[in-house]
Amino acid sequence: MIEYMEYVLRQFERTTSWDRDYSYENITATSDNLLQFEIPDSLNLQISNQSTPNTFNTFELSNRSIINGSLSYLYTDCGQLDKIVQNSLKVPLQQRVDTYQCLRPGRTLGTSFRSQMLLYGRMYWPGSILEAMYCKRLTPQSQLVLKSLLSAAGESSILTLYWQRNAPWGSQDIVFSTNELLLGYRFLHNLSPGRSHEGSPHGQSTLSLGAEFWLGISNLLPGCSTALRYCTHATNTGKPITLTLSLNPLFGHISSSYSVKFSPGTTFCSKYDFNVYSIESNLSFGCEFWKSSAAAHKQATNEEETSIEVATETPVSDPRYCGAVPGARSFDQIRPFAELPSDNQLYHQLMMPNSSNALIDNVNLPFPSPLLRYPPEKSVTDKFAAMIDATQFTSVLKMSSSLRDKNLRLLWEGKYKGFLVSAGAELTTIPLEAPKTINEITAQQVPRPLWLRPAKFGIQIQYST
Amino acid sequence: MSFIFNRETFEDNSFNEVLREKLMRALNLHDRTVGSSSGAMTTGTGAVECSGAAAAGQRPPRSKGGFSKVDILKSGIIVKKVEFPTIPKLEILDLDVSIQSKSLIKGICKVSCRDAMVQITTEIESNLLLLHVNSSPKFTTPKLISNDSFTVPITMTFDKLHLEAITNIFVKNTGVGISFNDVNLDFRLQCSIKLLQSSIEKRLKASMEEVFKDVLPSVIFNMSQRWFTHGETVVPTVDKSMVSSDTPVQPRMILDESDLSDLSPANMLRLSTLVSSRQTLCLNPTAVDTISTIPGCLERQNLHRFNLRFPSLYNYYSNKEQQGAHNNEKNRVEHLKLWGRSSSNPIPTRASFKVENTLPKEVLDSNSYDVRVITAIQTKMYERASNDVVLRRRKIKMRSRKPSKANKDAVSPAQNDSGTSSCSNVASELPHASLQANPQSDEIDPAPEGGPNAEDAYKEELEDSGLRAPQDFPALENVTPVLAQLPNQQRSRLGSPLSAGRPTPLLSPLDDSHWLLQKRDPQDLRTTLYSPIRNGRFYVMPQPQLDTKEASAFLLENGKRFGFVGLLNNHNLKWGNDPPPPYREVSITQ
Repeated sequence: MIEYMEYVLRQFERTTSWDRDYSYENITATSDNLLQFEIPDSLNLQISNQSTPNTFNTFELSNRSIINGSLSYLYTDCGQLDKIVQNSLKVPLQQRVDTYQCLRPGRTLGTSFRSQMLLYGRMYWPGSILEAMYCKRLTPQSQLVLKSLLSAAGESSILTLYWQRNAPWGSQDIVFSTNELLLGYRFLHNLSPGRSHEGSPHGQSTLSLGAEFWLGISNLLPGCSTALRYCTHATNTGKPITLTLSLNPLFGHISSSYSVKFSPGTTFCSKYDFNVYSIESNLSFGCEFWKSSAAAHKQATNEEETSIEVATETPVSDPRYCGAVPGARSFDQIRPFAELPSDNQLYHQLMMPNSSNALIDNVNLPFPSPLLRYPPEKSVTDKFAAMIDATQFTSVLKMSSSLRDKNLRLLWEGKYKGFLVSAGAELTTIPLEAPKTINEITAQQVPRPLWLRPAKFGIQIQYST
Repeated sequence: MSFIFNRETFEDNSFNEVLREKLMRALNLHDRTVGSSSGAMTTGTGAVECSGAAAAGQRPPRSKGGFSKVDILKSGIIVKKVEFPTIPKLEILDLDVSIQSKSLIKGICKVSCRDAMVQITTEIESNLLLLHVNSSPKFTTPKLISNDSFTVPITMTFDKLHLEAITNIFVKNTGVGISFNDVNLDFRLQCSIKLLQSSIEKRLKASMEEVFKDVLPSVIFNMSQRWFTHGETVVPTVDKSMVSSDTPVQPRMILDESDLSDLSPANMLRLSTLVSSRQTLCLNPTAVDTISTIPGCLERQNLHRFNLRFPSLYNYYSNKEQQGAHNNEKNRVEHLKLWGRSSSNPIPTRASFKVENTLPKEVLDSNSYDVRVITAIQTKMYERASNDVVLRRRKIKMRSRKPSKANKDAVSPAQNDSGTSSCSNVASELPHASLQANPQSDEIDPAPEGGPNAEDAYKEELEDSGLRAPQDFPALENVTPVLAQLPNQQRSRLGSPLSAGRPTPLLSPLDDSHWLLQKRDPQDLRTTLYSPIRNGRFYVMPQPQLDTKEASAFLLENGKRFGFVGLLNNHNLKWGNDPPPPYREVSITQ
């Protein structure tokens, strides 16, 4: 479950038309979200609130080993954020769950740019550790992020600086952290066909290629990797597919992943890791099952009917979630629109890729006339994307397993009466107090238990108003 | 104190196997620290040397990573092979039984060991950036793609280990201190990762100095402390300043209880015999009027009697007074034979155990005292007790009056006099009047300050030894409970006001006389001690020792302390003046 503050940050990025998916950092986000999702390891309660249009705060209580918690505040001068950030009762679950990353090619930048900033601070107690972040959009294509960690004991304070550039052709990041004097550079190039090929089905695919280089100056720790990502859609069904291939030449690590979204509610992912030096390999599987209840359908339908005007006026759509459509709209609702004749203006409004950015800035933007000449086959993929975003999901079950680690990870996330609940467990066959890796002697003596036992489990409850 | 260098331990390969297991256990403790392995004193220098090498061998990977908090090791450390083909040599260059108050034995040894081999293997994480990322807070750490762990097995072989070191050994009551000087350590390192070999070797050699300078001495000291005060976990404060600057963790002891069985059984038997001979449930001393059941050994409960025999003004002059009247040669010889065993003589009562350091009334009346004798006695008393006592006014006066040479002169006439006059033994004729005269004589006494001085020191001594004695029997725990009670009783008896009025045995003058004869023994002892030590053919190995501080303090003529267990003859188990157990001769392998 994405925490409230992270959610606000992402909404801020969306508002300022910053596309985090086109950063090298997130090139393997899909497989990570499906395989290495975070499992809470304690009882965690978070209450969040939008106190004013520009400030947000969160109170967190947790019982990890001892009762502890944190207080966080966020300030932004972005004026539209209060309209986009939704409380836990209304927010679509897709926006609060890290899930399959749907990329749409041919991004457009915001027409008007205003330098906006965001300030965030989080105080942990009883440790008295302060997290602070400053995020500032410098130019339409660049932003500066400062993250720092301060400890009251004064033993460690870390400052990390990001300078990020996000252009249509790709992105560049320069990172510097005072911890170990880590210096990094990463870039990502989009080799997508671009807008000229938008008419064809191939126009829906994106090929990105990137690399990163790291150097810990104080100890000369090198690190580098290169990765490739290909996002496309099945031609006949429009199901999105993501393939990634990453390589770490220093340590000979190759990993490839294949993720596919079969239906709006099911996603599968498999990942194969291989090390060319040590010939170690690992195979991981992960899947997601989204559930949308009938009750939610009806409720959503009623809401939509009454407030369809509101919905179109506040178009909450996230390109992450294949967002072409305003968020709170059910699948039942979208069907009539999908069957509309193609010359209907509303049809194009709903089905047009990346209409959101334009719509955000000006809802009543008149559509250019060439859009009306869209070929009909394009609607297959769009319809699928629309279905996903339109469905009002109530819960999701995530599972993943890895052959090497011999574990099973379970996570259930859902909405329950306005609470966002995230409960998970990791089951493993490796005894808990085992050494970190296999010592030859102990491995022979201790028989491996047949049954899975929980390595960690926890529940996180969030509520926001 | 005694030690034995058990050659057989080194002669077969089982020793190597034991060492390997110990080393592996020590290295695989959860918080692996630099000082994790400690030298095993019983197994000799081989263990010390080897564990030192291994402790250092474990360090370079850690320091290579540069993170104090990150553990580069991905699995336990497996000690594959430990081989000591030759027996480590230990050569005693100098041994000195110090007469100073605190340290008991000082020695200089040469330790050498060659052609040893240790092979350890483990797995290390080679992706150091991953370790860094994992140990850093998530918030400020950028996410890295394809940054997976990559473990590499590593085998390090230390070949041709050659160690030569001159060590200074201090054996004290509470522990063994060893410092290494002139360490000459050479080895060949073969690392399975050739890339790291040179840097590991460089770091190892650099850290060797630290190991021998700080780690090993503190480890050995702490371990010996734990031995000497058995059962009581003394947490040494020295550890705070321990070498491992990153993790100040107390070094581990790899010796367990079973190791104590390696102590020489013969010595243990002797010690236990010695102790059990003193064992009694009786609150009062068994042999009422004797100093000890074992000749040459002073027992705790007889300490006060021994103390009474020390020359004081009262002793000396009361003896001297009776000398003329009751000088009976025959009686003297007879009672000297009985000394140590005689229990038949009735012992006259006396008001307290305290040493009366006052002149008898008769002497004062008759004006028959000699100032020089008094000076000698007082000086002796002062020297005996003045370890911690500040110099007092009295002493200054004496000095100003007489040159220091006078002290020495005064001693010999005193000895001569008392030697001839020590035969008086008729207890009934001991003047009771002198007891009553004591309070008066206090006023007239020319040297009243020696008394309180001596008493204070005496009490201190009692308390010290009473508190400490029971802890000093690490290997003989079964007998300590009995022993532990004795000093307490002693002290309570001494301290109780009841005892003042109670009739308590006074020494017979015959016994009294013996303290003078006894003087010769420590002198002999010292000469016998010093002569064989010089030839450097002795091994010193510290061993849990009996606390005989108080006995030695009184036995030694000049009053300084001197530690020993007993006068045990090695060869025929006769008590005598042969070198005591710590200095048993062992043939050296050439």
